[in-house]
Amino acid sequence: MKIVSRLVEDVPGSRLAWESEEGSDIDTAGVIEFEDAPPGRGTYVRFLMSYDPPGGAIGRGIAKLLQREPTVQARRDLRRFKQLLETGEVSVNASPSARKSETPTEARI
Amino acid sequence: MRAVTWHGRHDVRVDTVPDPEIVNPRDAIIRITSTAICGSDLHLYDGYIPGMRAGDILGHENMGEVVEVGPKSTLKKGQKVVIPFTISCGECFFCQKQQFSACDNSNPSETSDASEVLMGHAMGAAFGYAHLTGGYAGGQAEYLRVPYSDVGPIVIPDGIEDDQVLFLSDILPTGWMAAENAMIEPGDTVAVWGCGPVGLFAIQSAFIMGAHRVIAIDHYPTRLELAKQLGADILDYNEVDVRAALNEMTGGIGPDAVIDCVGMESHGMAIDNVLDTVKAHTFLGTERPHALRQAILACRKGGRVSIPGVYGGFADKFPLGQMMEKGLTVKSGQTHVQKYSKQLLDMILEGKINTTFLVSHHAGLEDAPDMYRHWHDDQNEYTKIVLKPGLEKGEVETLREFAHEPA
Ligand SMILES: NC(=O)c1ccc[n+]([C@@H]2O[C@H](COP(=O)([O-])OP(=O)(O)OC[C@H]3O[C@@H](n4cnc5c(N)ncnc54)[C@H](O)[C@@H]3O)[C@@H](O)[C@H]2O)c1
Ligand SMILES: [Zn+2]
Ligand SMILES: [Zn+2]
Repeated sequence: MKIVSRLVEDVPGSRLAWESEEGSDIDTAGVIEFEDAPPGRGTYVRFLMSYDPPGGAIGRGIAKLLQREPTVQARRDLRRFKQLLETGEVSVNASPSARKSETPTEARI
Repeated sequence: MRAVTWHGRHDVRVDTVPDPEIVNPRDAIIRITSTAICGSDLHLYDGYIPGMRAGDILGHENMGEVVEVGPKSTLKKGQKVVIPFTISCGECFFCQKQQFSACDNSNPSETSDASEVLMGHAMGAAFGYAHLTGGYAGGQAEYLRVPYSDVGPIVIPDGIEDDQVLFLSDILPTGWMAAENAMIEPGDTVAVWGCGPVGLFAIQSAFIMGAHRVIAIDHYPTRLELAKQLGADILDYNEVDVRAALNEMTGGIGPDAVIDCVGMESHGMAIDNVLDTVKAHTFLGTERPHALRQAILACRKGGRVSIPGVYGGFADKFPLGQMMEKGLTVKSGQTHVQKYSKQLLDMILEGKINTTFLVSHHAGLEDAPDMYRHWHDDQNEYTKIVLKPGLEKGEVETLREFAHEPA
């Protein structure tokens, strides 16, 4: 799958927006906003994205089942981003279990 | 390595699993020397906590020796450490407020979604508990991976026995925070439901914080006896009408503060509890808050309700009106263990707090399935079990023979 995006807005320190180029396999646009939280509480990060799901509503349903749905992925990525900035690492529960399908170095649900 | 694993309701096994590895820079690996079984493990054993998966390694009351460190760990190989059951980053908004059990970063993004749906906000993480709280392996095993090892682990000076400090991992700070949440004032009478490990430490803490009188409630003679040895007055709820007795003992006013150290699996044949048990077994509800209901009704007007006992979701017939009309203050929560580590370690080292009197048994990992059964079925004789991977199969040490009169 190919998506080429173009930055359409860049307000330093507060806003980034982009859109997919003509000819991309998915029509998508997004914006990220940064806003000062009350004193001592860091920064609010807001992420908005729109897209035309391939396969329409059914495709979206399947993506959701596979946990590949952009809403889920975006929320999780934002959390990872916050973890990385605040703790210097991305939190992961990688550890042993008696489940043969897992290794102690992989994240698990 | 060998590890104690959960496979379903009343199905705990010992399996051979891979050793843990350093995954993140702040990680450390410890070789477990002692790991206790908790009342919270009973809720897992009985299948009341949602989000467990077959094959999960149990155990959140852990200590041991540092054997491996990541590049950003501040620990050194060979150090003896106690590990708080709460996994906390030390950096987020909540950790900075010392609300460590509410850590916003420790629950990985893959597992925090579900708890956000259930609780309204993503929960912090813990060792050896449900995937709602991060799905990290527990320490009832030979080795344990410890994330954020630069902020959580409590380094223990040489020459201290494991049993003296092990409970810094959970039940000691839990009893302490329970008493703190009761906001005790001079002259106060404090009533404590449940004389398990949490209740016993809450009783001790309440006295240290200046309670004039502590009244302990349970139905197991040996557990009540331990409470009595700490200086508490005791009530066996099978022998007396608890609320009438509490009113009688407080001149009709009721206790100034009540502490629920029972949690979601209240015992007893009171009618509300029987109905709750039926509902729990038919999956119509998770909670059996009989002790908490009784505590709220018993508490004096304008008094305080402290709830360290664990609950998992929605409860039926909660005395909301009683709580409101009497003007009660309620405080609760998973313990902010790291907040209390230093203060409580110092108190142990100075001999101001007794941490070993409740330990009834030591056993090796291989005997864990038996120990879980005893912890569930024989609470009168088994008052706290510590697993020591160093002990052989069958090498069970009974630390106290309970010869006792009925309370
Ligand atoms: N908040 C936290 O961070 C935290 C930490 C550790 C444990 N806990 C919770 O604290 C609770 C107690 O833990 P524990 O290890 O002491 O457990 P435990 O099972 O050993 O003790 C519970 C005691 O309550 C007694 N009991 C049951 N029904 C009663 C009733 N109706 N009235 C009076 N007593 C009654 C039982 O006989 C038992 O002695 C559990 O719910 C546990 O999950 C919470
Ligand atoms: Zn515990
Ligand atoms: Zn944190």
